[in-house]
Amino acid sequence: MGNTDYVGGQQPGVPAVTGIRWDVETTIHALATAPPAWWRPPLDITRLLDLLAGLARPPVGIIAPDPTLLLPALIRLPSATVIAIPSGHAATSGQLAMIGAFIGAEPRMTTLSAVSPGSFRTVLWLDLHRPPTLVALRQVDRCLDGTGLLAMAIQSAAIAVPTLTTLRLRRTLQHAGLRIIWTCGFLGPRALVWSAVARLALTAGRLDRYDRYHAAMRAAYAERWPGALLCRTVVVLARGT
Amino acid sequence: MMRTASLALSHLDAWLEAMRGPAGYGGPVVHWWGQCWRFTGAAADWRYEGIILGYLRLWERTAAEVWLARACRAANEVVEQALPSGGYRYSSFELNPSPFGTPHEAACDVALLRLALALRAAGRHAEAAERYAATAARNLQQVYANTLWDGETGGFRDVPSVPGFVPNKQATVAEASFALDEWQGTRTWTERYALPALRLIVRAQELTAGPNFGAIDQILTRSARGWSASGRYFPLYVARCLPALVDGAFRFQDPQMALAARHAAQFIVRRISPTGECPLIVYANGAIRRRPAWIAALGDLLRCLTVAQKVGGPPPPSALLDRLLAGQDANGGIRTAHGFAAILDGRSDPHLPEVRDVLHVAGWADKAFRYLADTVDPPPEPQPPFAEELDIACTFRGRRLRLLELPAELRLEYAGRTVYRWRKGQNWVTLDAIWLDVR
Repeated sequence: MGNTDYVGGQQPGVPAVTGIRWDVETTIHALATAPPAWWRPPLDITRLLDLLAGLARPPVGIIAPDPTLLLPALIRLPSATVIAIPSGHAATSGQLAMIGAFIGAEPRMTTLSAVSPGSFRTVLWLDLHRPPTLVALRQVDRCLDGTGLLAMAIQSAAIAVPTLTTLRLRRTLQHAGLRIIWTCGFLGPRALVWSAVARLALTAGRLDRYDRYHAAMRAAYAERWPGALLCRTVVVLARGT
Repeated sequence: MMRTASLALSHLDAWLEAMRGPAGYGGPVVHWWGQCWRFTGAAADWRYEGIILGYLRLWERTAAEVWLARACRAANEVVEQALPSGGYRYSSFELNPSPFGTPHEAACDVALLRLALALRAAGRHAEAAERYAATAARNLQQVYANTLWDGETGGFRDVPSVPGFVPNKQATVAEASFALDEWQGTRTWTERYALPALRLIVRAQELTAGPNFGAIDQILTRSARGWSASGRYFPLYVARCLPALVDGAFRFQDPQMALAARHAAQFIVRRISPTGECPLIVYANGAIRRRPAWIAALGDLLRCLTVAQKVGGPPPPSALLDRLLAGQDANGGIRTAHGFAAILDGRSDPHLPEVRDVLHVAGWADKAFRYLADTVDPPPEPQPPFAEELDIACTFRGRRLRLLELPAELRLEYAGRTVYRWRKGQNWVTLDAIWLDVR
């Protein structure tokens, strides 16, 4: 088995910010030291990204500083471009190298300021804990072509307690001139109850019941609007007008 | 019966052809603990184990070149999914899309290596054989040996940082290790990896007298306090331990492995009903989850129990084959299971199957294909996919659906509206009902 040095290619017209070179040893080290969530992403992340990957139309831009989201997003959308936003919060070059070990290619990178207007048909905002400001949203909208799709995911610390974050996000989207077409949530109160019941069953030594209640939790995982207001992870889809 | 089984094999081959896209065999996945419904791309998971080895066996039995061509075509598709890391791009079955699926990548390696060995023995396609073997070797070295192997424990983890060891997955890697050593003419993999992995399987076996005697626990976890077992026995996964244990028993002249295989086979056969139904899970606490009861995957139960007869295991009940063949639909696809609605003691119509029962999944059907390819009269030549639309009434969580399958697409209709559509060959479906969107 020979060395498999790999340097990722660059998409024409979209400048790469990094030039990562990694070899077999680096790759193995990256795989072995990656957090468990990189190998088995949490269910709400998986559900969220499956939904978005099915809707996305290329070219796709992804804003995801957290590599736990960026990696599975790139697995589903390998030709997407990663957009760094000017907030000082981004995946490190080491993390990008680790992502490259998983997907077999260097992620395509650019910055928000470098993107030409109308470059993308889909943009995914996956900075879960930092919903965009109106200014950032208008910059992102500028990246979209015509009636391109903007998908925003946010996460709250609480479940089953209504938060203003989702309401604010929807209002911000509307103020930016975008049309909200769908909102849904993952891990809401129904799923939370089943999860709690499952854990009780586990504590009581009833593995059979734990398995059944865990299946019920998975079945109750998604909520439509307005139930999404009570969910931990919320996705809002909007289009340019 | 043999004529029926031979027809079933021919029809199943035709259905498999209809599941192909430009990159290989695709389709949704249903599983007991999760599904992969949205991603439907060609997946280098264990479906390729049964597909490649099934076609290889047909070629070996008939010398018909078309079967060898299909085996090599499938192997080429696995090779195409190989990443620089050694992993396969979409190898995680119900957890797709994701690389590093276990035991799936090892299952692909078994198939690639056995095909390479057969080609070399026949003096055929030398370059392809080298490529298949090299791809499998790189996966085994870089992913399994260098990343997942826990030398202190003597087993392969699922995730590098989590000390959980799944016996049936150890077994698949052991099979791949044997094959790699045969290809290389060494004993390195056999002694360094397969032997401790097989001992780990034996460690997981229940040896207390009682109804679960011989069962093999699903997951062993290692902590500072020692080993702990999950308390679950899956007969299907116990079965998948048998070929490696039997092979190990002969390679190492190890009576303990032979005894373990025999006891495990006896446990499985004790659990099979007169109608050929095998429970999904037997719990250590005495509970039994009977449903969903696998249908297509009975191919692996049949195959593995047959192998275990070499060490004195009981023969597989004939009802297993009856049940497998009875599960084949008019388009050649074989139903995945019976009783998915029982997972939630659901609200579904007791007279109609749940949609997950009737969904034909390449990664379950391959097990039926592999078994039939080895045992029944092989078809003289392939037949084309069935052109007629398959139309099955089914349910999901209280709603009545229609499952409609053609060679070019699979869709689900609810109240006259299409709520799920997979255009075969596409990586993603269109899904238009949140209540249907599960994982």
